Amino acid sequence: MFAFEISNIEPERMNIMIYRILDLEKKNLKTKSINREKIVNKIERIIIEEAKKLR
Amino acid sequence: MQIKTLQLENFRQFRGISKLEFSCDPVKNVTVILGNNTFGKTTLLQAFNWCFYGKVNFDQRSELLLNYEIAEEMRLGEQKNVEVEITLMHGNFEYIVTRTQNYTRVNEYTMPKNTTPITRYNEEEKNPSHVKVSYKDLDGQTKALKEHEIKEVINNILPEDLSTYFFFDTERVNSISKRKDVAVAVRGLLGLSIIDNALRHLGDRDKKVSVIGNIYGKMDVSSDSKAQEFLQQMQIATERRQQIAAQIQECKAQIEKYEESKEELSGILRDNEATTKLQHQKEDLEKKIEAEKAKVAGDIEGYFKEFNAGALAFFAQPLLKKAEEYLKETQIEETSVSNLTKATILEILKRGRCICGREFQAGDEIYKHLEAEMAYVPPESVGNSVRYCLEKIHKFFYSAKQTYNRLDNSYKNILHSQNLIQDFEDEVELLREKIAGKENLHHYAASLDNAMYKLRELNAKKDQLHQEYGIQKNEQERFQKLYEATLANSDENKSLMNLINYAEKIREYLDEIYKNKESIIREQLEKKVNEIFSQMYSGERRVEIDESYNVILQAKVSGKEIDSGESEGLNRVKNFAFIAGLVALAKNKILVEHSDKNFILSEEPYPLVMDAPFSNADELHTTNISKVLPEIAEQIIMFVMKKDWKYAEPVLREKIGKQYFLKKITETFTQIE
Repeated sequence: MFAFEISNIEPERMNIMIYRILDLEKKNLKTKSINREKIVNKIERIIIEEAKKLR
Repeated sequence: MQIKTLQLENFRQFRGISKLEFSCDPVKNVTVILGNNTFGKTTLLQAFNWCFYGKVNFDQRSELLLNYEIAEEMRLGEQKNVEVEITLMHGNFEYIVTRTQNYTRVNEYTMPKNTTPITRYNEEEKNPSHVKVSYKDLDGQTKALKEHEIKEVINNILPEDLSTYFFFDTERVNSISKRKDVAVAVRGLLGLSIIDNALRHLGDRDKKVSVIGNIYGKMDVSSDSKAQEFLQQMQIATERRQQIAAQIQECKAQIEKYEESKEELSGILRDNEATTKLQHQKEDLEKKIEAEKAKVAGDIEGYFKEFNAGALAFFAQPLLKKAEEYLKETQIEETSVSNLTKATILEILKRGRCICGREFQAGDEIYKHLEAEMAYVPPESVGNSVRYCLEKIHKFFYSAKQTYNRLDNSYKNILHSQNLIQDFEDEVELLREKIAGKENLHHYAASLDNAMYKLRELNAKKDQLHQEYGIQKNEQERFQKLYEATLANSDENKSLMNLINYAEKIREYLDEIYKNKESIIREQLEKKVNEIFSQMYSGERRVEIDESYNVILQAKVSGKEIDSGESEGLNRVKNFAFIAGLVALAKNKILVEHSDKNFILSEEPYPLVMDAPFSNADELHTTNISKVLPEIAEQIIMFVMKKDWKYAEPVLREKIGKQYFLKKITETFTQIE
């Protein structure tokens, strides 16, 4: 269904992304220290950072 | 989560400041608070509920949480606080939850500030209490939660939907709703909210405040008019799809409402099946009474008609009897030819020839004889008149007899009907007593019919909406593909699309993990709950946990498992086994497995706070509970009546970390020692 296929997907990189996202969610669940908009931005940054390391 | 302390200030009978420290020792993990009835054990349990959720459930004077003695002593305009503070550990954080309510004496009544004397506590918006939550960060810094975050954080620590289980009031165990959907709360408790939140935050291309929606929105379409056109078409289809989705949700909510109503009404009718039968019997009898009464009314009318028509003949009988006797005794020489009339003789005289053929003349002997004969024929004939009279009398007699028979029969019928009516009415009265107070079942049956009709209608509508949704989704996807293909020309867009693909892959993966974990967790929970249930209940029943995490008891009947229903005692064991299973499962690690590094979703100990856990339990049951409790939960806090403690104490002795006694000073003042 994607218009582009992910050309160089690395399972390890994906795992790191997932781990970091879940960790962020777990911390935030306890204290709600950041709001929805901020957490969305943080997750986006995780994906951008990890995707950059692929190239 | 472990509860470290509970501090009360002027809360109900706990005047002044009272503080309880709970055992957090991993071995001696039981804290016991002993006290007799009305000493304030339930108040302590309610203090937890109030502090966390702002709700209480007292039988009396729920609106006034302030100590009654203090309330009485206050002067006009004076203010006092009621406060409950709980310190707890959750994850690596120490939390302090404080709920306060301010009371001002406004007149002869003492009422919460800004409220009128009639305000009840539960109407939160009219009678607010204030809650504050602070926590110590990993670096030891204390931070306060923002007001709008508090409810969510408390719900993450200990979901309100499960509060009736965690703060287990054994004597009010029936207040636990049988059909409440606690799925979200259970999933949250077992760590699945982490994945759920991640999924929500990743979102999709339609949701602007989501990772995927955000990146998607950054794509540059300004330079390509074709892309813009596709985007517009896609947005129209998306908007339409969202509208339909909202309609489907609305439809589902309505279906759920009617399903609940259907279930409730069916339950009422099922429970009252016997009453329904009795009600039908009563109605049948009432119909029979009406029919019989109509028959009696007809019979009485007929009786009077008969009487009116036959009364003369009937009552004239004695007189006619005498007339008959007199006429029978009367000797009248009867010489005339029967049925010969005067007109016949006059005709013969006029003809001048007798019937026998002999001719005669006026004045001769035959003529004179015939003239004389006229004296004996009607109407002049006395004999004939007497005969006619007798015949008439006999007819009267016959008619009187008939009248008598008919009146007699009619009277018997009326009496029979009236007896029947009396019998039916007695039976109706008996049935009325049996079904007193449950007579409105027709109303339930009609409501059930209505609910079924609405459900058919709504389900048809939902199917139709799903079809339309599918059409719009296809449209949206078609334009999306065209749009993305058009955008592929720009390098920047290409890079953004790559990020979206990653985010969507992660979402897909987490979605799958969520579904798998959810089903595994429910299976494990059911197993654990059954394990604990079987330790406490010896019988054929087993526990099943449905998709809403409701606990249903199943019994084997003729090889088939059926919903067996439950007594109050069994309900108690069942609910206890459920919360014990949940707590036992939560303290184990719940993982998302990765190739080299597993992610721990949950590994949280939970306390069990129980009021009167041994209430109405026999020695064996008390011993069983006492053995099971400290093993399953990391922390046990129990409020126990002194008389119930004698069987539990020997079993629990080694596990008791802290023990308190409630000392009742007055009806409205208890001290903790």
